[in-house]
This record gives sequence, structure tokens and C-alpha cells, in this order.
Amino acid sequence: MVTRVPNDWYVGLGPLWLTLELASVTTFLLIIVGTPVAFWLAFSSSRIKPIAEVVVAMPLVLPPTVLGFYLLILFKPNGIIGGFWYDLTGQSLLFSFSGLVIASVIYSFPFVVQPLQNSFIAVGRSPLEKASTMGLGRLSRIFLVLIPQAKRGYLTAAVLGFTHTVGEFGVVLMVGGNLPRETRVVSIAIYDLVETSNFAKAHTLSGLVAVLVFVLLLIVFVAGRGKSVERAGCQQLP
Amino acid sequence: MSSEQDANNCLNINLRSGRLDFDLEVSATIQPQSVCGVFGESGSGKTSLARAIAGLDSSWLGCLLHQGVVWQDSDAKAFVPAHKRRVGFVFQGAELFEHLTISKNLDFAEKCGEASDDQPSRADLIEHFELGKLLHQAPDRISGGERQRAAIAQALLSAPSMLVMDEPMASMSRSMKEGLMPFIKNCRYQFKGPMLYITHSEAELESVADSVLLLQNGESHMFESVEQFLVRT
Repeated sequence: MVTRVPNDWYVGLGPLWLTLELASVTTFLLIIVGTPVAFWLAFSSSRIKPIAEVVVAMPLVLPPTVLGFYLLILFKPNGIIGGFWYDLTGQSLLFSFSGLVIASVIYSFPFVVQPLQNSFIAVGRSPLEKASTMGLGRLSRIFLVLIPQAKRGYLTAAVLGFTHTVGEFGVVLMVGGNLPRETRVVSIAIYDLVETSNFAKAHTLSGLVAVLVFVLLLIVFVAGRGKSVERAGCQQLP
Repeated sequence: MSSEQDANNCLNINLRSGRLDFDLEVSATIQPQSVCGVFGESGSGKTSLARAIAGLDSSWLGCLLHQGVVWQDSDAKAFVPAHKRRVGFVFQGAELFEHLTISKNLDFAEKCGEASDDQPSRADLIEHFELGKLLHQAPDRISGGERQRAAIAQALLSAPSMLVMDEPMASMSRSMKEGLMPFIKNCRYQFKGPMLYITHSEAELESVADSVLLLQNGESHMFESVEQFLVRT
């Protein structure tokens, strides 16, 4: 009996917490991975840049099932990524939380990289050049000048990456399946509840997701109005 | 100071543009504690030369020697990056770090530089450039002239090895220029290294420069004084 998943988790708020956990981990990883990619896309004059931009943008328009299908192939224990993961951890990447995280990072990649790239372009080369003439090396320039000036881009990127991961359905269905506590995220749970005509629970979960997404997006839109947040904060200093 | 020491403190420029679509060869020696005006029409390569000296543009070829240190030597494939040259650069657009107040901008510069007795102190600079009332303002809340004053003070505070001002008054009205000019003249008392002042205004040269480096038709001509430059044929 102990190993059985309690019924309340099955239809309760469990899937919502799992989703928030997935979205948090994904957003954290996306900001780390997305920063150097966005930096390169913003400032490089390489000839292969347009191709890189297309690759980054593809998850925006690709049917989630197409992305999910390829990830399924790659994540299989004998697939390229799945095999490597199995050798590393002894576990299958398919139908696991870790697999969902990797899939979400790919699926939400453009939602983080593009706002970062745009904000880096808006900051421009000048502050970085100024910082270099003042003696700052490359990493110091990025951490002390570029990232603080692109604060609003980071807020937008984090919120879009987070909310887009919350809204994920097709990819999860393909590579995550529907395992309670492991891969049953809120969008899947709602689909299940509706399938079984459990409308009251579906209402609860759907309503909570809608409110959460509304609040998060509101933060971005309020922060994005007129003056940037960082400057508004700057004036309030004593 | 003996002439030998003088030579050691100079900036020796022997550079030519490495771009195929742009022809310019510059040969000059800039003395310390003097302002050399770099004069030329728009597109004559003034800003590009300044960026090459600061290490921001690596497309130039030739040799650049600052106080006996090789900053660039194309034959030896030597190129010291900008952050190791530490050329105090005052940009046309009065560049400041927009996410910081004026006070924090100065703090930033102070942390970048190594304090030495030769350097003017923060308090001195705030006084000389009349920044006292602006310290807690954001850069986008003050006028262009005030921004440029703050940017010059910031450049001086970062303990630069030399100073380059790239048309610091290019986008200013006449009254703003008149207001800023005394502060720019003031720099020579605050700074002991070589200074380059880039401009296309003869009036500005007369006000600030000791010598003039003229960039014209892809060549450079050095004039020991502004008077010599003004009576050139």
C-alpha cells in the first residue's frame, strides 16, 4: 500500500507542484545555457549566425509532436543522448523527470535566448568597450556591465521560459508519458481529468494555472512599461 | 626632465589602416602632459585611429609604443588588448553606465583604477567637474554637458595610462560647448599622461590643444603648435 500513489496526489495539486518544479529547474538551466548563446548571437558577425538563429527559433514553430518524436528517438536507452545518460546514471531518460527537463530546455530555448539577445543588442557594444578601456576583462565586462544593464531582458526571458514550460503539452506527452510524481505535469493531468469527466478538479487546476500565468506575465508587462525597472530603481537610491 | 625620459613617456604612433577600402598612414609622437588635437574632416579616420590606439580596433597595422611598452607590433603579431592598455576613453555620446547613478559610476571607475599619488582624488574631480549636485542622479536624468563632465571625471578616476577624447562636444549646442570647455581645459592639470583630443573644429583646437595632428588625404602631418597649424598653407 505504501508504494501506491495516494489518490489525492493523483487528482490533487501534485501535478501543479511538479510543473512548478520542472519550470523552475528548466528556467534556471535556460538562463545559464542561454546567456552565452544569446551573447554570441548578439555580437558575433559570423557567417553561420543566420543558421544558428534559425535553429534556435525552430521550437517556436515546430509542432511539439515533431520535436517530441525526435527527442523520443534520442532519449531511448539505445539513442545518442539516452544511451549516454544510461551509462552515466544507470537510468532511462525516457519517461523521467530529468528527460522532461532536457526536453523543456530545448522546447523553451527560443523564449529565453531571444529576449536575452534583444536586450544585449539594446545595451550594445559601447558600454562593454568603455568597460574594457577601464581595465575590465571579458568576464568582468559581462557580469559587471552587460548583465546588470540587461536586467529587464533577464526578467522577460525568465518569465517567458517559465510560463512556456508550464504550458508544455505535446512534448511531455511524447517523451514524459503520464507517470504520477515523475512526469504527470499539470497540462497532462488536466487533460486526464477532462477525459474522465472530473470537471471540478479540472477547473481547480486550470484556474490556478491561468492565475499563475496571468500574474507572471503582468510582472513582465508592468516592468516593461516606459522606463526600465533598473533605472527607476536607480533614482530611488539615497 | 631630460629628453631621454621624455621619449620614454611618449606615445609613438606608426600605424596604417588595414582596411582595403580606407587608406590612412599615421606617424606621430605625442608628448606626455600635453594635449594633441587630432584634426580632420568627417571620414578622415580620426575615431578609427583613436580606437586603434585604445585597442578597440585591431584592423590597423604597424607599431604602437606607449611609454616604452609595445602596445601593437604587427610584424611580431603583438596586440595588447584594450583592458590591458587602459586608455581613458571619453566617447562622443558621453557614455556612462546607465544602470548606475553618477556616484556609482565614479565608484566603478575608482575600483578599476589603482590609487596613486599622481591621480586626482575622487573629491577633487567631483569639485573640478562640479558633479556634487548630480551624484545621486541617473545618467539619463541629466543634460548632455553634465553627462560628458561625469564621463570625463570617470575616465580620469579609472587611473588611465593616457586619455583620448573623441569629439566630446560633437552633439552639443554652442552654449553647452562654452559651458563644458573650461572643464576640458582643466583635464591637463588633472592628468599627467599624453592626451588626444579629436575634433573637426578649429575653434576647439585653439581652446584646448598644444599640438595638432592633421589627418588629410590618407596622410598625417604633425604641427608643434596650434599657431603653426592655423597658418599652414
